[in-house]
Amino acid sequence: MKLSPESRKFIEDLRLYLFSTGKSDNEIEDIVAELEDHLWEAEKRGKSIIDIIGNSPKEYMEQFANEMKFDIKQWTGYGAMMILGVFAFVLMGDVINRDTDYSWFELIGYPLLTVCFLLLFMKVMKFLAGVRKKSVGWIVLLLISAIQIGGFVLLIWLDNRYGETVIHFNSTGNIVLFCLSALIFIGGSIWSKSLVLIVIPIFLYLPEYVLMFTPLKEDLQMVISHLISLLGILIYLFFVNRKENRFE
Amino acid sequence: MESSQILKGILEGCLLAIISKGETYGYEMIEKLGKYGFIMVREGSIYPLLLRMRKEKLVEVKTKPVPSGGPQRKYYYITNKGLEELEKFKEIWMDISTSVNMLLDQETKGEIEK
Repeated sequence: MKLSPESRKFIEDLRLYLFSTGKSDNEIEDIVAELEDHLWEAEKRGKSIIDIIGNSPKEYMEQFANEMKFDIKQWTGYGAMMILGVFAFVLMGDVINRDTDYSWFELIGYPLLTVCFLLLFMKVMKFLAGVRKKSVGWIVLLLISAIQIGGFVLLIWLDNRYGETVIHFNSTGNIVLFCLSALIFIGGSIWSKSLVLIVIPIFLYLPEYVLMFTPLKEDLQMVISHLISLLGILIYLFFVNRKENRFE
Repeated sequence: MESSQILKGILEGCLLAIISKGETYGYEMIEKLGKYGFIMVREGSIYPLLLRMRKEKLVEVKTKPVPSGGPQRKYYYITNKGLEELEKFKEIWMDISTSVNMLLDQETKGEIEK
């Protein structure tokens, strides 16, 4: 079964729109499957997507959204998973750099920023589902990423300047933290049924850790480990993307 | 917006009537509506309505493979609550249509008398 590119684009936009307005995944897939069936029958008979949904895809998507409830349970799960994920990344990086002292700024700041960005992303995804120009989408995503990085940089700056350590971990504590992060990554991978949460931490932290044992100068170590991380993750994402496209 | 709200209500009643005649699916409903001259109805607009009718338990859904093979298809069935709702719709529609027809009829006659 192969739908026209316009129909497939609409289906993807609808999925994104409903997802970002907090609807249940099962319900979304249910609706999408039914619409795909209809579009398939209609396109066989030479009708176009405009004959079916009208001139305003956004208005049509809203009609669905109005009939569906916000799935609190699902989104609490996503929120919790995001916070845990950010924690795991921060903790594992800190353990490797032997920097496991935490201030109130970090303890409150990281979860708060994560929730804020999750909400912001939902709003942005909803907006993007109604945007037809790809370039606008990219600019908005870049802008959001910049704000996100800015937020974390600000937090780190505040912490360095004003943060007083309230929690300190010794070496046993560090091992516990490391195992905890690893468990979160493994749990997250099982939950999301993908290897992303295993592969990215490995590329991100393993080069840094291994290079520490080499006689190379510290700044050279940093440059090399960052390069390996970046290239490794990009190559991995490229392959994942290609595999997904092949399945369509 | 007003007129589309009225149309939605009418369309909901008509969908109930179609589903009450036996199992059917989205595309088939559109074809049946088309046969009765409902060409002003945008094909996609039945799905948000069907979703609401499902939530209100007026209809039920079963997913089955398409007879000709291929992907699964969603079939709709009317519930008892749906049948009650259909009866209500029929009554309201009879009242409205009789009144509207009478009124329009009289107006035309009035025009002639002038």
